[in-house]
Amino acid sequence: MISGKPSAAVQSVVNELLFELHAKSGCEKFGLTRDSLCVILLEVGAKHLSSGGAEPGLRAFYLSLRVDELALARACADGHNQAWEVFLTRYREKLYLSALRIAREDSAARELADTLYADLYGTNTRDGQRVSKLASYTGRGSLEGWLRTVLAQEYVNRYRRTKRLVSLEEESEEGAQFSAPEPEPLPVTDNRLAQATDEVLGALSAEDRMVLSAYYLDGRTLAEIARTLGVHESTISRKVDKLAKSLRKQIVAALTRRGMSRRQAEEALEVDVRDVQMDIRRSLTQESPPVSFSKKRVEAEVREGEG
Amino acid sequence: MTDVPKIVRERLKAGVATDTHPDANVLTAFTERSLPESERVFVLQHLARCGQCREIMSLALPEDASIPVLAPARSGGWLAWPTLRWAFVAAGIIVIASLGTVQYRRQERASSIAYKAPTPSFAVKEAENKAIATPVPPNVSNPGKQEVPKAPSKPTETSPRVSPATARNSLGRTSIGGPLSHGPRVLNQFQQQNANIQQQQNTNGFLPQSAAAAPPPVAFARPDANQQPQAATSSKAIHGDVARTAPTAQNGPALTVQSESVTQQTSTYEIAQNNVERAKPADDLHLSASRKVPAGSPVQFDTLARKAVPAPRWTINSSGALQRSYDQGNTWQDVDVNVAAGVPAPESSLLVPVEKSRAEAKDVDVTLAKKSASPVFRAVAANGSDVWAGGSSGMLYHSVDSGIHWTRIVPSFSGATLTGEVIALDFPDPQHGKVTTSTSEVWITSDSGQTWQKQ
Repeated sequence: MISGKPSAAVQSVVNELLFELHAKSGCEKFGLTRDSLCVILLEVGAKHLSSGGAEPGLRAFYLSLRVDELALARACADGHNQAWEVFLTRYREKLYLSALRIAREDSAARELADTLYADLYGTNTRDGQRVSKLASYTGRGSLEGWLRTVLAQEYVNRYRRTKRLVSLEEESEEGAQFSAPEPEPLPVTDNRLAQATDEVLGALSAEDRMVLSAYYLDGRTLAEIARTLGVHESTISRKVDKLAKSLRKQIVAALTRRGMSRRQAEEALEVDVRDVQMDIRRSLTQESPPVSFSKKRVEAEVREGEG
Repeated sequence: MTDVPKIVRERLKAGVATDTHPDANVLTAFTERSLPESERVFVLQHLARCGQCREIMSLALPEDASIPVLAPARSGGWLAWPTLRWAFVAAGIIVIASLGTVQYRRQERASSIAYKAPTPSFAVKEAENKAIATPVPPNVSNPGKQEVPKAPSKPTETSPRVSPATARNSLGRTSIGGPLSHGPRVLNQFQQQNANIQQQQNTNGFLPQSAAAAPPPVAFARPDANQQPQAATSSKAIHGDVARTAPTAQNGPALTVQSESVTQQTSTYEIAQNNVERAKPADDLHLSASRKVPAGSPVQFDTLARKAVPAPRWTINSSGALQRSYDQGNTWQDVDVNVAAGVPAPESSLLVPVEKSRAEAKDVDVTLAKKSASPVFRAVAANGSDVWAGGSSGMLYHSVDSGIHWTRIVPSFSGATLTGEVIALDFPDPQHGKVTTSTSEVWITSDSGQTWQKQ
């Protein structure tokens, strides 16, 4: 989808829609000219559009852009003071609230928000040019949603980076409870089971597989999954239940196609005793919330950095 | 919630995304449902295998459920069931409303086309406004009035010139004695009944006093009293001096054939078709091009205005001229039966094509002069557009288009033809009819005059 240079079709569509998009963006008040906007739109097209896109799709793409927020973000990236004033007025408080929701701790949230804010402002430089994270905003989604996503990315990256640096004793002091380590999974003596399972999972749609993964692997709630996909919670509930019931049947059918008898297939799928114990253990284990940032972690990171 | 086998969890974990992670713009657009379908599937495929991106998306969800939707990225949004079901409901409502509108308009059209016959009160007023004509001697110059004089005079029982005045009864079939100028009129039993009815109606102001005062006012047509019962056997004859009440409104358009009492002041008779006392079903009364119209159908008057024009009224003036009125007797026009017709004569009858010319005669003398070659009519019977007129010298004419075209009919049977003057016509419907002559001949047809039988 990403190409380095805008195609002729993209340029043609941009030229055709430039007047309309320019009027919609209000970029003049932020010091952006029409030509500057045209360059920005071509960059966005080069980043997200394929070279062989049809004109109706290109028109729909550009018409769906949030050109007003794109102009604001690009003006902020260029250091336009008035744009920054508007940005701070609109998004500073929202940025902090989103960080608080992600980090679940006030200090961590402020730190996270301030870190991102600095990246947005462009404290970093490259080749003498200020590099602002806002320059990567392309207007495909709302600026507020983009800021939340960037915050989440920053948090996940930071948490993953510092997780291994926190000792178990510290986590215990923070109240985290640990469950017994899961035993090693039983070696699969019969590859047919894995093959059959892979075959069945491969036949699922991307959305069904994503729902199963989010629910059974990530432990997401039905409401969270529903909000991610933009559907009602009951829809996800029915989908998960239906998938769970049909997976067993389909795996059994796949195993029978691979030479197993039905009884053998069902036995292969029967929950192992250790699996039962694992399930009980899992249900008994209190689900720990995501560990929030702590000062100790930050200090550990700093020490590591210094080191 | 039903759990999945452990192997499923393991295999789900095993599938790791190897493609590049979608950037924040794409993930944001995915969350806000502004990605096109193809790109959305790509993101879903990655999310199905990348726990990190799933976690990011979960964290990036807004606090509340209100996720701004930038643009409908999915194609076929209009075809989604939530939209379609309301489209079906709207379509059903539109269909039902359309059917109701069409049905309502049909009913309105039918009611507007249907001729509403004047109510009895209306007919009464008409009768009151019209002079009851009594047979006048031929030497009485009639100013050729088109309207019935308003002041009915005392009916005279006899007239030097009497002729069988024919008037249509309630069924519009029987023709009774016509203008007095053609001879004495003899009342048959139906005429007597009509006279009685008119007498009753007169007490209510329906008819002029003179019209209902006396029973048989004038004997017109047949000196032979034996012919009287035959004049109107299947229908109620309207007395020559009795104005029949107008048809009721329920019968729709109808010919009002009224026979007026003979007075000195009037020379015209209205032959009214009265369906108040009907001996036959209502469908016989109404007119149609096919000569039999179901009840309630509109009256057809002529070929040009069959659908919506009321049936004309017919009369025979004192000079024996056949006259027709399209405005319920306000004005009358002479009808010339000399109309070209090309109908070949069947075996038992002779059809003589004649030319027709329509002209309004305002003066009786002029009319007489014009009609010097025209027959002198004495009886007329109409069933909507189907009209029979008979007169002197056995002349019998038939029209199926309210008098625009005429065909001369010469009934014949076993070598014998109709002779004498036609003094009575009895056509309960366009198919069946009876012709009575001054020579006591009775001719019957059951096929609209194509074949005849002499009784």
